[in-house]
Amino acid sequence: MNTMAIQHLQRQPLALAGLLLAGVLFMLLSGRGFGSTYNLYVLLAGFSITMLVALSQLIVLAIGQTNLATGSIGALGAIIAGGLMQELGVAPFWSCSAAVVAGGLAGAVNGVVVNLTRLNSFIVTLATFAIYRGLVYAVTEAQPYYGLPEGFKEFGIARWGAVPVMFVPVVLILVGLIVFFGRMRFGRAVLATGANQQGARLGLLPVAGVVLFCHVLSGLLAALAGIVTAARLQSAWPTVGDTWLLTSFAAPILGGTALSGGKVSVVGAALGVAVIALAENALILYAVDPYWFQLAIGALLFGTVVATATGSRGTEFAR
Amino acid sequence: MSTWRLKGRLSLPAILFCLAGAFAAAFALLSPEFLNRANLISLQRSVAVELIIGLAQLAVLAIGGVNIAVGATGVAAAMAAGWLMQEAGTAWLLALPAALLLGTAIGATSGYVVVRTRTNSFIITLTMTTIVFGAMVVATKATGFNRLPTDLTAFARLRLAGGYVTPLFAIALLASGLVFLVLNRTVTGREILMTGANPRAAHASGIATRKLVVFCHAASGLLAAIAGIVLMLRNNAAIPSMAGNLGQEWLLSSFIIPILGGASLFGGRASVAGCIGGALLFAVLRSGLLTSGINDFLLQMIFGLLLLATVVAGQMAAARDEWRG
Repeated sequence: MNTMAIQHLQRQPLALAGLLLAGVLFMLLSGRGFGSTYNLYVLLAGFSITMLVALSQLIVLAIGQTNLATGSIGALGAIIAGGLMQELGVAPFWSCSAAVVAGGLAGAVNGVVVNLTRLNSFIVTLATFAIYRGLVYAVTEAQPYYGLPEGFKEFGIARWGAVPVMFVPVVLILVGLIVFFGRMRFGRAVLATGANQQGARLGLLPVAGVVLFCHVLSGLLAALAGIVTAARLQSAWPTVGDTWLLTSFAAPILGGTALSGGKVSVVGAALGVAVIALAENALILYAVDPYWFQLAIGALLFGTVVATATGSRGTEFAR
Repeated sequence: MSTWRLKGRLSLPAILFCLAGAFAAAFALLSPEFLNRANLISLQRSVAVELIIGLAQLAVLAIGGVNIAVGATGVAAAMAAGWLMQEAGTAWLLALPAALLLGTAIGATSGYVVVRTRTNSFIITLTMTTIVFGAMVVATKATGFNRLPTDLTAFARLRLAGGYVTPLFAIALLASGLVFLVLNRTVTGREILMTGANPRAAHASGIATRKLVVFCHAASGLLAAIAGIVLMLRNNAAIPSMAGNLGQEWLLSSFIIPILGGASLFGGRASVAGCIGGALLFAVLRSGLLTSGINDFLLQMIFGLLLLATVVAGQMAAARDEWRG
């Protein structure tokens, strides 16, 4: 990594923080009820879900791979948890645990196939994206689970003032990943594998294990995001995760995580998610057509990629 | 690396045609309706759309890129054509070329940004997907256009060659022929494949690789627009959701068809004949499985598994070629 890349790693989160601050100030002064306790709660709840989605992508971006199946695994998590609770009457805790484990398994399938075949993760997860989504629809026959137990629904709406309960585990996961990448040996091994796989192999790092670990963690986080989405919607829909693809990439990349691997910024991704959540909230408060949201996030990401392009001179050729 | 051949002298496209034929025969035995004229016509129409979608992805795969925005571009072009004809009262002779131009411009923009920012095409075309689809929905307020000019409706209903061939299928074959000629019979085509196989070597030997990347993305946008218009003619309406949310429903088929046909994700290998075989097999499987009562969702799973099996088989064949030298 050259010095320019390091500067970038710090400059991008800084720019995002500035953008976030300006956005928050603007919304506070707009007089649209942005600062109300309830609106802040809505904002933080949206942040929590998008954060999990973004981290699910960030962990595979760290090794220079992609997971197109995050949305499908999220749906898998939501309907497994919903199905177990509603159809089989399993307790919410065990249902959600089983759903998270299933997400981990779905991620493990991605990782094992990538490891065994040495295929591009893009094409592997494109295939599993279709397989898992098909499975979800086939099992549910495209019907949502409405009759979820009260305890589970309570988790989706419980809050202390402006802080939703679901915000707490998300912050814990965030802190955990910051420590993981910044302080832990295995976290460094993940980044080394992403930066230079051949070098990592020569350095006797367990490359296949690292790849499997990242895909499993990605699946766990995606399933968790799906479960939290179900709790928030008070029902488990098979359409969960339909629109996660862009946001899952947008937040980490806005925050300075490299698509080519080896370079992540968890704080940057959190700031990216905050900007996205703020944009979504602002559009709601101004009662703008929700489709502007996709357009706005797309344009923001596009602008970031173009603006930071000077930093990627290292790549000589792009297709 | 030689083209992927199995033991005998059968080439991959020939294998795909045989497989498609075998499946068609099997489905015909299972349910005789499979071979009646209405079903053959409807099968052809879906082959036509799928084939052009596959070609749109093939155009960028050839140079080692991907285009996530194929679906969004196709829908945006069809919606633009629908709006021009129904709301602005433009003649179809002007509206259709304008829609094609829009698709080409979207593709060219992606390509230009890819080479200028040196960012990989995945992320650029992913952002392009949401920008294009978002702009389309905002502009049209997500309402479709279903009063197409009678000339176009009549054209789509035409039957050629004794009532067995639809003009939409003819358009798809024409597009395939054009892509084949450019890719295999022009210097530009060979340069594209060389850039796809080894960009550095191509650049060093004086090939204008950056222009070729823009060209391939523009061609992909044009083909996506053609696919959108053909689908519009088939449905007799331009509908915002005709390729699913963000055009995602085209994503899987756009990759599975060229890759079934032997195209490489890493560029340098692209077969139009393989693409035709892939589209045929894909459409026969889908039509046959749907008529024999398999639901749409299971179908998606089956095609996901098929994609996985194809790339694994291709990988094994490539490894074998390498081992043989």
